[in-house]
Amino acid sequence: MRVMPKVAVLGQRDAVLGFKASGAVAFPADNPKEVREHLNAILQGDYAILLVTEEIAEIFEKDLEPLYDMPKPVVTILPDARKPRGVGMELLRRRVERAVGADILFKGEE
Amino acid sequence: MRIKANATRQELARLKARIRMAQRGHRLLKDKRDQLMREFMSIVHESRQLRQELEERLNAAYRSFSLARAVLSPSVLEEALMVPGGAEEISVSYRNIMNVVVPEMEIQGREDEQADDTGDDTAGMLPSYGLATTSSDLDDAISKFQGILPLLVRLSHIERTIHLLADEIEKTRRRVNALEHVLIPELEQAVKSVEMRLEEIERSNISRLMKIKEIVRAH
Repeated sequence: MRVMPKVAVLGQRDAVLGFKASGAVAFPADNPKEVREHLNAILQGDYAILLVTEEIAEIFEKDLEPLYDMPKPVVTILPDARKPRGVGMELLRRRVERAVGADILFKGEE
Repeated sequence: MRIKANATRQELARLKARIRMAQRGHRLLKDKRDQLMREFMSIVHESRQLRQELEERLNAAYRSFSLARAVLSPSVLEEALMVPGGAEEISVSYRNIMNVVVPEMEIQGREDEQADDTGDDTAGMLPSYGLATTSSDLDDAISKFQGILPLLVRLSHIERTIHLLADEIEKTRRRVNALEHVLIPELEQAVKSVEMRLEEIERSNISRLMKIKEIVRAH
C-alpha cells in the first residue's frame, strides 16, 4: 500500500494537543531546541502540510522561509489560541502586495 | 544603455524585426500577466474568507479544549490523547495554471463521511479514547478540531497557490515592464538614429551627385 503524506502540527503543547486526536500528527515543542529537532523530523518525514502556530512562525521566520518554495510540506500558519495576531493574514497581505504592487486586499480597512 | 547599430539597410531591417519580436513577446506576456492576475484575485478573496472562518472556528475549538482540560485531570487527558486518532492521509495532486504548477490537496477517504454536512460529531471519526473517564467537553473539542482539519487542508493549498502565483506574476510583470519601458524604446531609438543616418548619407550622396553633374556640365 502506498503511504500517503500526512498533516503535521508544530507548536506549544497546549496548542497542538487538540489536533492530536483529530487526524494530525502533533509535534509538541516547548523550547527552541525542540522546535528545531521536530522541524528536521518533519522535513524528513512524509508530510504534505505543516501547521505552525503564530508564535513559532514569528520566532522561526528565517527557518521557515525556504520552505515556502518547496513542494512539500506546505507551511500554513495557525492563528494563536488565545488572541490571534494575524501573522498568517500579514503573510497573505505581503504576497498580494508583491504580486499586484499594491495592497488591494485590506485597503481602507485599517 | 544604447543599442549600437551600424547605419546600413541590413541593420535597419534587423532592428525592425527585433522590434516586431519584442512587441509580440510583450503582448503575450501581458496576456499571461492579466490571466494570472484574474486567477490570483479569485483565490485571494477565497483565502481571506477561509482564514477568517478558520480563526473563528479554531478559537471555539481551543475554548472547548481548555474547558475539557479544566474538568479533566492532566493525567487523564494525557492518557486519552496518547493514542493518535488515526492520522488523516492527504492526497496531493497538481494543477497547471498558466504554466505554474500548483498543488491541490484533499483528505483521503473522508468524502462519504462528510457527505451529510450537518456538523455534528456523529459523522466524524470514533474517538480513540475511553468515554468513561473523559468528559463530553473533550468529545466536543475533538470533534471541533476534526471539523477544522479539512478547512486547514484547503487553506494550505490555496495559500501555497497564492504564493506561487505571486512569484510568477511578479516575474511576468518585470518582464512586461522591461520590454515595454526598456527594450522596445531603445530599439525604436536605434531605428530612428539609423534611419536618420541613412537619410543623411542619402542627402550627401545627392548633393555630391549634383555637384559632380555641375562640374561635368561646366566642361
